[in-house]
This record gives sequence, structure tokens and C-alpha cells, in this order.
Amino acid sequence: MRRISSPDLKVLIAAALTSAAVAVGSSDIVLRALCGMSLVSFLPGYAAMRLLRPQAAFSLSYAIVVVGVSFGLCIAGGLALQLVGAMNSAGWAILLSTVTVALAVAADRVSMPELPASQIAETPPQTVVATAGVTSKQTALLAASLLTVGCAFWVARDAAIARQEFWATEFWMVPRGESPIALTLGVRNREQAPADYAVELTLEGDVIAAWRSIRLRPGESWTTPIDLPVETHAGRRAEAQLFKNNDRQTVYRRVWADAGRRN
Amino acid sequence: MDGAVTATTGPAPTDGIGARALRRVLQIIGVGQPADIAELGAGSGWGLLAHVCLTASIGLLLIAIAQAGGWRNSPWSETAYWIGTATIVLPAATRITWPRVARQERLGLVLLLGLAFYAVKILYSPIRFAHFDEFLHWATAIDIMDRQHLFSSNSLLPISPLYPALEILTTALANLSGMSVFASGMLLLAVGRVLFLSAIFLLFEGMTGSSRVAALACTVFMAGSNFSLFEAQFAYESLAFVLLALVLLTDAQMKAAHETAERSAGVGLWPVAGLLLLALAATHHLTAYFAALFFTLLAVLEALHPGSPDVRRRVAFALLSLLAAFGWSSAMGNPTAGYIGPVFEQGFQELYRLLSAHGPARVPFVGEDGIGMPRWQRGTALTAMVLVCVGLATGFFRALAVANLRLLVADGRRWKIAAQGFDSGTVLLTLLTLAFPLSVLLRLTKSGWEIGSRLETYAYLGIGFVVAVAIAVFWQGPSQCRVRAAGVAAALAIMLMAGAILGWAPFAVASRYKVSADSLSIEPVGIDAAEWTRRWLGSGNRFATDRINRLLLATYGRQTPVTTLQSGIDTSHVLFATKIASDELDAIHYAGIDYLLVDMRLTSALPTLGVYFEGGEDAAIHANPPAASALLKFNALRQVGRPFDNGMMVIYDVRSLRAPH
Repeated sequence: MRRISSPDLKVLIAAALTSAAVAVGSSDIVLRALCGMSLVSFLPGYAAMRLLRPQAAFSLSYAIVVVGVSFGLCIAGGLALQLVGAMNSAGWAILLSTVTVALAVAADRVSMPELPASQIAETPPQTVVATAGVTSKQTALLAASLLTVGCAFWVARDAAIARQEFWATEFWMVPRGESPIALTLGVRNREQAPADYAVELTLEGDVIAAWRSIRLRPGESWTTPIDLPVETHAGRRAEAQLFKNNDRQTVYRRVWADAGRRN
Repeated sequence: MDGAVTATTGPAPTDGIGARALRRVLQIIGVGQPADIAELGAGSGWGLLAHVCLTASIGLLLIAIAQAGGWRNSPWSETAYWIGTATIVLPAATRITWPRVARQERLGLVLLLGLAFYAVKILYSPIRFAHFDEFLHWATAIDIMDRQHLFSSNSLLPISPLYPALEILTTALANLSGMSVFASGMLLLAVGRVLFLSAIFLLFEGMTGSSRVAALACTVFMAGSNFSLFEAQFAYESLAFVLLALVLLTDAQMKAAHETAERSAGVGLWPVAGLLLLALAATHHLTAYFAALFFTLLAVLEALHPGSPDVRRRVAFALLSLLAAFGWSSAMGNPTAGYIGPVFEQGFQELYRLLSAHGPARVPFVGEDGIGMPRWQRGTALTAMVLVCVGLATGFFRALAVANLRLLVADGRRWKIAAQGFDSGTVLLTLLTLAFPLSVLLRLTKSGWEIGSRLETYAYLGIGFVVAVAIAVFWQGPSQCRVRAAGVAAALAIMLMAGAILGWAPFAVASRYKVSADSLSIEPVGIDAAEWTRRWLGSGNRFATDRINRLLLATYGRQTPVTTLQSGIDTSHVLFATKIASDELDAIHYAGIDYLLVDMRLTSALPTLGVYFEGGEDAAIHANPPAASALLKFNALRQVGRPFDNGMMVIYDVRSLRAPH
């Protein structure tokens, strides 16, 4: 088998394989994000463009099309991956790295004709955008900008996380497993302060169980399994009432289920 | 195209005061005028880009502070927000219009402005999706992540899984990176925005040979009302526009290669064009159809001139775009006819009634809740509209002249069209502006505003170009006068501000919970309830609930909300009727409803955006907010369970009612 001769294609193949390995094997999310982004938005497109337009110089328009082709290949790849039900990290890593390597190998086979010396002399070096003239003042201003934008995101994120307009205690009673008389009763404190709860369980109005002091801090929850003392037939209502902070006059929450019946 | 084409038409002005006035008007609007675009001197380096970066970042910080204040209903938040926006917009607009600015700086300014607008959208909700359309596509993405295959159903937007390109890209990145769908989507859309702006910059630059016009055109495009929010959402249109710009750029590159000796390079671009058109077809129906129509018209324009060397390529490109758009749609079972058809039909019927003075119009600048925009916002929006119209009036014929298509007043008696080697792409882009008045009229109708809004986005590709030509040739011209540049900058800034106002209003600034107000109705208690359903009821249950909780249940809860869009069954009365009658029981039976989620907060107000559930719901439910007793009527049914109660939201288990009655 012929070795890859173009240095950029060698780097491309190495980058594709490394990115795929990192995406599947690493737990570092920043590294995985970088590698994932390169596989989705650059490497396959670059390989494809090297195959399709081997003589094109790397310019801004070339770079844009490279990313666009990467997106296109990724979308087409997704349509193929779904056929085998492999739209997971391994599936994507294998697909995109394989496509990149295959296109790079094919691009290497399409020999790039050497430009005549006169044309080489006339071809100006091109970059994505000119990078000349970034002064130290501009660098400092850009750094300050980044810092300010970082602060803006921090402020917005902090506010979004802290946003809590309503406070609620969740109370529930749901079936447990397949048994028609097995239930789970639960309380979750999503309020601002710790609270003492009491729960009373009735069957057709008769109290059959009670939990007098359930102290929950914000974010904490309490659950308990219940097996109702009834035959497995329909039509008996089990109702649970929640009381808060020793106020037994006010039913804070109510839930109920039809005991003995399953849908 | 080679060869001159001339045509004569219409009466020509004769001498006299009227004729002289007409001639002056024609001169102002550029009829028969050449379009000499000046570059205003060549700058060098990055100029003041870093300075503008800093002012934009300060603007973003102000906006972040405003949003933080908004959640607490601080009275200053609105003011801080708009000052922040102006801090972003004004320096960038000023610098873009300034003389002697280098190409790289102009491009940098365009990208900076575009990304700053995108950052504004992220700052609104930096930790989770917040906007209605985003939930629709997030639901599809979640399905792909969970099931590892495409085309599963999405009751919120049934057509979304059939156009899954955005979700494919996002879930690919999410799988590879380990990031959430939200983070992956936001990152991809940021890259997409850079691609889009760079592509249209190069496109406009290629058409005019001027980076100045390109930067101005991009800036005017960004002043469209959809740019700041709608095209920044995690929704299929956002990616579709990126792909559309890339297809246009590829076409331009092929044309350039065709016109030079590099035909082989052009051949290499055919697979690229095919791939991008396929990707576009799998992304968004309307944009794919627009691309097909655009390239078909381009081929027709080219074919008007026999002998044009580009006709065959244009025809082939048009066929490829038609094949991609309609081929994909056909493969998906032609879902668009049933989805878009009724919207178009109703929209245009309303437009007809509006134009014939038989139908009611939407009141501009007033929301569905009857609350109007502040005066300064209305003034800014109206001023921007006037500026766009003036720009179009003075740029339309000049833009055609850029394309070598000139309307001449010949021999004082007749008019003549001189079309010597005109550029079809430039002509078509200019003609695209004719869609603008239609989009404005459609936005005045109750059903057609959505079509008008979408149409405006496409029209703005042409509007950006035409207004930029008007500035570069007429308003600012070759003048290096800074006062004149400042005047143009002020006009651009007003247009950009108006775009942000119209795009975001009335929800630009965060505020406390409102009933049925999309992003303002999504808050942690609702999210917790949806997550509770997933944890304790399992996923995939069929829920009847209101518009907002549908979004939360489908995404955080992984449930299947029952929607009229998918099932054809209206379940609004199941929740809002004061009594349970056979209609309600039938709806539960036929829609196969497992659970009802009742949000007691709906009793506090009428829907801010005009609907509690979805468009087309019974108008009678908008007379008053629903009564609490109506929402809680299922308490009285013995066979109905009540598994969840958090004080604001109650879930009823109605599976026992699904049997036929």
C-alpha cells in the first residue's frame, strides 16, 4: 500500500483518528468537545475538498465551504448511521473518522500537479484572513473584551440559576410495580426553607396510616411504600393528605388513587 | 452574458416643469444612472475592531445585568437592556460606514455584530432552551439521542422529525463531545452564524467587487426582524439559512470558475453543491423550496439570452435544487402540503379581505394581550421602515445597474432597457426586494403574519444588497466626509435597533411569569413537574395539557402531549369545560389520553400570546380566564386518580375513562 505523501493529509488522518479515539475514550469534556467539533465541522470537509479541489488555495471562501461540506457529510452520515441504529458516540466517531481517512487517502491518490515555477512565484500566500497588524493595544483590548463577555455570561448564568419565582412542595402517590394494591407515597420540599410535614392516608375516609413528622430541607424528598389492606378489586379510593408545619386544619396537598385497580 | 438587449416601452417625459421634476425624481431613484461603487480609500490592519469589540462586550454586560434585573421585575432593566443594545449597535454601525476601513476589519465588524446579537440571545437563557420553537426541535433531538434513529414521531411539531438535519448535527456533536444537546446546539449555531455572515459577505463582495458594499449589505440584513432571535433559535430555519448561503456561495464560485479558464475547479464543486442542496433539503422545507425557486428563476433569466455560456450550468443547478427539495419531500411523504398549505391559504385569504377592506387587520405594535409597544419603540420601528423604503427606492435601479441592467430614458420620448451582459444573480437578488411590500402586508393579517415574517427573511437578502448599493452609490457615495458617514451610521443603527425591537418584542427583557407567554412561562416549578412525570410515571404517556406544559412534558418529561396538529383532536375543552360531558369523554377516548396536567396559574390571566393551547382554538375560551372549578372538575369523578399535586399543578389519571362511552 502506498504511503500518504502530502504532509497536510498525514496530519489530517492523524487528527481524525485521534479525535475519534478521544471522543470515545476520554472523559475530559473540553477535550472531547474540541475533538467532536473538529470531526463534525472540519476534518471530513477538508478531506473532501482536498479530493474535489486539490489545486484550490486555502482562502476564506475555501474555509467556509470546508465547514459546510463537513456539515453536509455529517448530515448524510447521520442518514446512513440511523439505518444501523448506531447514532451514538462510537458510531459517529467511527463514521466520521473513516470518511475523513477514506477521503484523505483518495485525495492523496489524486496527485496534485506541480505548478510551474512562474505561477508559484505569482501565487501570493493566502490565509483565511490576514493576520497582520495586531498591535499590543489591540490584544489588550480584545483580552478586556473577552473578560467582559465572560462576566456578562457569568451574571446571566447566575441569574438564570437563581431564578425561582414559585416555591412548591410536591406530593404524590403512584402505583408501585404491577400489584394493584402497592403504592408509593412521596413528598419533596421545593420551598425556600426547611419544613415539617405530616401525611395521613385514608381508605374510603378511614385513616389507615399516618406519618407525623417528616422534616425536609429544601431539595430533600421522602418516599415510602404502601401496601393497602384491601382485596384486589376496584372502587376503593385511597387518599393521602399532606399537612405542613403542624397545621392540621389546612390540607396542604391531596392526592388519591383507586385502590385495587390497575389500568 | 454577451450582447446588448434593448427594449422600448412606455411614454417618455417631455420638456416642461413636470418633465423636469420627473427627470429629477428619476435621477434621484437612479433610473439610467451608472452605479459606480467607490471603496472610500483602503485602510489597513484591524483598525478599530478591538475597540468596537470592547464596546460590544460592555453592551453585552449591560444586557446581562438587565436580564438579571428583569427576572426580579426591576424597573430599570428595560432601560439598561436597550442602552446595552445601542452600545453594541452604534459603534459597529459607525465603523462599518467609516471611510478608509480595511476589508478584514469590515468583515471582522460584520462577524462581531452578528455574534453579539447571538450572544444577546444566549444571555436571555444561558443554561437551557427558552423559546417555543427550540422545544419543538429539542424534542426531536432527544428522541434521536434516546432511540439512536431518526424519523420517530413528535406530537409538538410532526414535521420536525422529517427534516432532521439540525438534530443530526447537534446529536452528533453531543454524542462525540459529551455535551448536552443545548450546549451542542448553541455551539453549532454560533459556528453557523459565522459561516452565514462570511458567506453572504463574500457573495455580496463578489457581486460588487466592494468589501464596503458587502459589509453594508450584511449589516442591513442583520437589521431584519428575524435575525436577532428567530434565526438564532435552535430551530431548523437557523441551519437552513446557513446552508442556503453556502449553496449561493458555491454557485457563485462555480460561476466564477466557469467564466475563467478554471473549468475543472468548477467541476469539483458539483458534488459540493449536490451535498449542500441535499443537506438543505433535509433541513427545512420552505428554505429548500425557496432555493429551488431561486435557482430555477436564475436559469430562466439566463436562458432569456441565447448564447449565454452559463445557461447549461444554471439549468443543471436548478434541476439539482428541484430534485433535492422535492425528492426529499416526496421521500418523506409530502408532509408540507398539509402543514403549510392551510397556513398559506388562510393567510392569503385574509390578505385579500384586508386589501378589499372587508377584513380586520392586526394592529401593528400591539400584542395579543392588547399591550402596545412603548412610543419610542414604535417610532424607531417606523423610522426604520421609512429608511428601508427610501433605501429601496434609491437603490433598486442602481442595484440593477450594478448588474448591468439599466433603464434609460432615450430621446426624450421613450424608455429603453439596456441589458448588456447583465448578471442574472444580481438582478434576481434585486427583484427579491419586491417581496418586501407583500411581507409587510401579510404581517398585518392575523393568520398571514407568520408567512409575512418568513418571507421577510428571504426578502432581506435582496434588501441588504439594494440598500447597501443605495448607500455606497447615492447617500454616501465616494464622499469621505465624516458627517455624511455619521448620518449613514445613524440610519443603520436605527435599522438595527428596530430589527432587535421587532424581533424580540415584547419579550426582549426577562420578566416574571406570565400566562401562555412562551419563554416567560417556562420556570423551574413547571420543569420539576415534567421531570417528576418521567421519574414516577415513566415516559411516553399521552398527556392533555396547555401550550407551555406540552413543551415541558415532551422534553423534560419525555411524554407525548396530545396536540390537534398531530391527532386532529382538540383537547382544550377537556381541561376548560365546566362540566364533564360526552364531548370531553369522547376526546379522552379518541385521543387516547392517559393523564391530564392542570396548571392552576392559567386561572390568573388571559393568554399573553393569544392562545392557551394552540392556534385555531375556540375563541370563546378567551373571554375570561378559566375558572379553578373547571380545571379541577375531575376531582368529582371517582374513577379518576390524582397522583400528583404541587399546589399549582395537578395531574389526573384518566386512563379509566379511555374506554368508549
